[in-house]
Amino acid sequence: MRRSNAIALATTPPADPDRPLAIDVRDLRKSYGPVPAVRGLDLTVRRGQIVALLGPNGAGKTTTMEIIEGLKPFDSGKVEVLGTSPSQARRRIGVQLQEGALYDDLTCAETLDLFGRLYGYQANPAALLALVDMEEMLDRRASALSGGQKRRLQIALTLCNDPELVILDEPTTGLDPLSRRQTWEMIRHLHQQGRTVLLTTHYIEEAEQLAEHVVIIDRGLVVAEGSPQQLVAGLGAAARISVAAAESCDLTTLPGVLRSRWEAGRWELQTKEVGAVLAELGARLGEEALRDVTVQPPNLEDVFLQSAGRHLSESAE
Amino acid sequence: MRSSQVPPGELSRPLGTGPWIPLVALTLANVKVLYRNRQVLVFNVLVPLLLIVIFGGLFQRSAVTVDVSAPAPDYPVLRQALPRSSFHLVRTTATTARADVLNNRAAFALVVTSAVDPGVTVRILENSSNVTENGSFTAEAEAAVAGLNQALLDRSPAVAGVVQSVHAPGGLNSDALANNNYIAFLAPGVLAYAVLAGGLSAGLRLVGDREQGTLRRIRATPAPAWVFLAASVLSQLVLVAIQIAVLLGIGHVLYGIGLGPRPLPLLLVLLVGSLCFLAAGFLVAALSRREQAAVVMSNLISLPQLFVAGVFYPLSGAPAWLQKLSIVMPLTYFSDALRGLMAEGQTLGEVTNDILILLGVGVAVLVVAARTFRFEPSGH
Repeated sequence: MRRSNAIALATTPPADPDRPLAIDVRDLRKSYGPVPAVRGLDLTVRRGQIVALLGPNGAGKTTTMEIIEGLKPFDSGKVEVLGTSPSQARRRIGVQLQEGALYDDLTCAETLDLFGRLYGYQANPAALLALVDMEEMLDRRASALSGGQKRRLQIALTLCNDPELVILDEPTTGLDPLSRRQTWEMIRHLHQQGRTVLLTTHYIEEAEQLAEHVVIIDRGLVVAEGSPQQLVAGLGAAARISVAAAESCDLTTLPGVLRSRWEAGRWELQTKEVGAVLAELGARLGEEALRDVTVQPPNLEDVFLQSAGRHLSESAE
Repeated sequence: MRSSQVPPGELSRPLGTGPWIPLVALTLANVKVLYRNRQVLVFNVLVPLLLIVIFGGLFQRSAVTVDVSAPAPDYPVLRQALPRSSFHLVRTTATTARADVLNNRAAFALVVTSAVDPGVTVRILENSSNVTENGSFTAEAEAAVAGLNQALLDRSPAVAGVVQSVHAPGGLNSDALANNNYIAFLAPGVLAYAVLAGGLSAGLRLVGDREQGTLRRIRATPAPAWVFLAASVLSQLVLVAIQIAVLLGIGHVLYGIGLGPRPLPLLLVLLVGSLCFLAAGFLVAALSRREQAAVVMSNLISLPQLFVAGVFYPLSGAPAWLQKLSIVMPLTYFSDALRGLMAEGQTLGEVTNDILILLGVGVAVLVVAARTFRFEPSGH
């Protein structure tokens, strides 16, 4: 699964620096009473990009999103959305909030129709529900949906006004793995249609899978940003290769291996030259041995660990 | 609801930027939610209906056979004035009526003359040999004349009954109404209470929608805040219309309750009362963080008013402290105005004070509510 990441990332074109900005946030500050939530945050999102805000709970992700959505006032700084103020841009933004946000007694179709009209649009509930794989739920009331279905309906709601910019706050939290993958597919689909996507997540894999630009936020500040590759490369972290082999065939001396360790019948090697090491392994152990090799590239978890000084998955619990 | 104008593959298409599109959509959605919400129907329609049906039934007189002799044009008025449940009417001539009473075929007879315009006189014929029954028959007859007065309120002067004193100009008095026709006294008060309960229940729903984040999601759309407020008002008026239709409709079928002679001032009072108590609902929503707190606050507002504001009994007969307490209850003015217009023959001018008080309270409450109301769930 990890290996496929590299392929998914390769298909995402790098952001064209000449594309106009969809979101331009400079030196944003916002406090709740004496408690600072955002402390001088800069964020730029170019049109057509998928950008992920990655950070633990309480990092200021949601506050930043809500300021961009025009839901919250801010203390100081500049916030421009689609070339105008957040409140002016509302009609052109699709929004998914963290909370329920549905009328329990309305059906899916009625909910989509209502929200479409609140934006001055006529939504096509059947098509919107098909997008989140809920075609058969047209006439089901929100109160009868499972948690995951509610979340998917909220994601479908973001498109009821044909938005240029879609803002998703933890779109896959609480979804089962299958629904999560479907949601990713949908987000990629939005991207292919030329829409800009800004999402928050505390799932490393989600940011790696989807985003061409990742912004790591902690304690109200951007602590690192760039494409996942750039972030990982910038960290200078090594990939991990795990291969089943006897302790006696000492792999410590393999060229390119930085660190090595033998445990429970497997060697774990850390290297920045995966291809060379794999080739050497094949030569030494025979092609047969390569059938049981796993390669784990350095990932954003490592980046996060280094930039925020703690594990994302721990802090997100 | 499924859109036919958007082609199958397309997700949505623009309709326009006018405020009417979100206003109509949100109002209809609110009405649907109302209709599907069992609690709303039970507490705002069914409970008041039971109050009318049960209390109306408890204090209803058993039917008495009455012979009525009256000029043809007055007969329909009589039919309306004398509730079918209390009186069994037989239309006849004055001579036959007299004979029926003397032979005990009828409990008493009403002989109505309206030849001398504009005065109407009613002669009550009783059989003087029915010594024991005549006391109660006289009471029935007086009730019948009171009912007739009520039906003829828009005519002036009122009906003069031979054994019945004429009521004061400007309408019946509430005591007489409560004594003679309790259901006509009760129904406007219960309707007023139902509207109050409806306004407060709108507040409860607002708290639920806010805590779930639904209001927030609506704030994230370009629809302005006034659209949200207007949709709440409009859907509340739909609820009030349903309350009126059910309470007065069934009340009419069972007990002959009507809108009274002045439907337009009545509508005005209902409108002002609805807005006043919807504002109270908004205030409850603004002041309570959780739905349970809102339920408690609503009950603290509605229950004392139900018992103190003279819904079930005329305040003129109540102890002085209760009367004083009722002065600060907005429901007192709402129920007085409704009763005045529906059953006591008051004019718009005579209920203007009540309307102004309701309006004042409503505006004051709305200002406080608007200053404290939040779209954000608590904790944000």
